[in-house]
Amino acid sequence: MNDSEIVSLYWARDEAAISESDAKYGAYCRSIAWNILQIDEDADEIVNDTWLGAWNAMPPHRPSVLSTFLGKITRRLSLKRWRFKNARKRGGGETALALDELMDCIPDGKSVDEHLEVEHLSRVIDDFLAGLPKAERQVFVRRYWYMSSIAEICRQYGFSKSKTESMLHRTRKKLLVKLNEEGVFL
Amino acid sequence: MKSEILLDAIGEIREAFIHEAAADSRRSRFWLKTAIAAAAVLILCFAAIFITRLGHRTPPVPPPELGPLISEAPAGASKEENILWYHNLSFTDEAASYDSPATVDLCVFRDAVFTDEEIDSAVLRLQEAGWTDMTSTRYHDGSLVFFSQPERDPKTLDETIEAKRNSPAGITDADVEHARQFISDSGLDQLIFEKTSVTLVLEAAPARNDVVFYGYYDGLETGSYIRMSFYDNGDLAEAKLYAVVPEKRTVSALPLAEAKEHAFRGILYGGGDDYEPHEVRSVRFEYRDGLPYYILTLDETVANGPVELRALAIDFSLIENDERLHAQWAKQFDLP
Repeated sequence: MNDSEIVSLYWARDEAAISESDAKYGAYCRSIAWNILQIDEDADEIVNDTWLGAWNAMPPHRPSVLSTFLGKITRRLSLKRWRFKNARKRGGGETALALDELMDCIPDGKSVDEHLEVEHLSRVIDDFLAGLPKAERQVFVRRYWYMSSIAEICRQYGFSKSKTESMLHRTRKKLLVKLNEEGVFL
Repeated sequence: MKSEILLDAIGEIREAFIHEAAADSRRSRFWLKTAIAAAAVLILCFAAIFITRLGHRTPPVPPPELGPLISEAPAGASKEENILWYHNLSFTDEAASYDSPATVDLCVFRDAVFTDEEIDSAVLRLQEAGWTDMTSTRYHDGSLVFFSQPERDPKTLDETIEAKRNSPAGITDADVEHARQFISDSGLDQLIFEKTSVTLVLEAAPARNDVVFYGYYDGLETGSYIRMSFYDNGDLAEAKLYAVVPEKRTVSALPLAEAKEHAFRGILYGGGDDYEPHEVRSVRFEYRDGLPYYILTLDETVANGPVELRALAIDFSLIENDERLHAQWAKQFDLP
C-alpha cells in the first residue's frame, strides 16, 4: 500500500491505518526508538505510541512524506521517554553520547525561552545543513537525528571509525561557528 | 541541559534531510547487495572459464575491483541486512554426535486482551489498598495497559531527580518492595494467571533501572511483562502490563544435520560483523520466544564471550504462514 493510501485510511478513521503503518514503517520507527532508548520493550511501546500519535494527528494533518512524519513522532516520544527515565536515574546509550558530543556546539551566553530557541535553532541548523557537503550532512543527520551509533554509521557508509568521528567532530565545530555567527545563545 | 535543546532543534530539521539520510543509506545497502550479487555472478563466470581452461593450466585472474566485494561475503557465510547466515559448518566429533530430538514443542503467543472491567477492578483494588489517584490507560488493542499515579510534590521530586543525576544507576531494594506490593495489591498476577496461565517472575537486572516481572509458561519465557518505576516516596511513576496467551503444540523436530544449514547470527545495533566460519564445538537445545532452536557454539570468541549461532529446530514451513509464529521467529534476528 502506498503512503497516500495509508494517509487516506487515517483520514477515514479506519483502524487498518495502524496495521498498514506497522507493516510498512514498524521496523523504521522501531530502529529510531531503539537507537534512543536501547530497551526492547520501550522501543515496542514507543512504536505503539507512534501509531496513536499519528491517529490523533491525521486529520487534520496530511503529511507529504509519511516515513519522516512517523519518524519524527517516534523520535519525539522516544526522547521524552528517555528524559523521563534519565531523570529517574535511568538513561545512557547513544542518546547520552550524542548529548555529550553536542556540548561541543554550545556557545556561551544567556538562556532564552526554550520554545522560541528550538524553533529558531531549527531554522539555523537547516541553513547550516543545507550548506554542508552531502556526505557530512548525512552522517550528521544519522548521528543526531536517527541517533545511530558510530559503528552503524561506519557500516552504512563504508567509512572507518576514525573518519566518521573526525567528520562529526569537524561538523560540530562548524556548527558552533555558525551558531556564534547567528547570535544563538543556549 | 543545553545540548538537549540542540537535540530538540535537530529533531525539527527539514524533512528532506531526514529522508535523504535514510534513503541514501538504504540505497547504499541496495548497491552493496547488488554489487555482491554481481560479484557472485562474475565469480561463477570466472569459475566456469577456469574449469573450461583447466586443460590449459591457465589460472583465473579476478579483476582487481572484485577484491573488496569478495571479502564482504567469504565462503561459508552470507550477509543479509543485519543477519549472517552460515552454510556448511564443520563440527567437532563431540558436537556432531549430538542426539537430535524426534519431536519438539512450540508455543504460539497471542496477545491477551484486557477488558475495561478487569482493569477497572485492578485500579479499584489498588485504590482500596492506598494507591490513591491511580489512573489506567488501555492501548488501542487492549493488550498493553498503562497505570500511573500523579506526582504529588513536584518540588521535592525535582530536587530528588537532580540529586539522582549524579548517583549510580540501578533499582533499589525499596523499588523492588514497592513493585511486589503493587502487584499483590492490584491482583494483576492472579488476573494474568487466570487469563493466560502465565506466571510472573522477578528478574533482577539492576542495569535496566526499572523493576521487571517477566511472564513464564511451563518454563518458557513468553514476552509477557509488567515493568514498574517508582518515585522516591513510593508512588507509582508508571507500570506497563503486556501479556500473551500461550498455545503449545508438539511437532516433528528438524534433525541437526538439516537445521545447521540455516544457522544464523544477528548483528544489529552497531554490533561487530567481523567473523570467520569457525568449527562448532558444542550444541545445546533452547527455546527462544516459544520456538525451539539448536544453539551452536563456535570455537571463535569475541569480547562478549563465545560466538553462538542459532538454527531453527523445526521445518520453516510450520511458521511461514502463521503471522504470530513468524513474528516470534523474526525476533531472533534482533531486528527492529
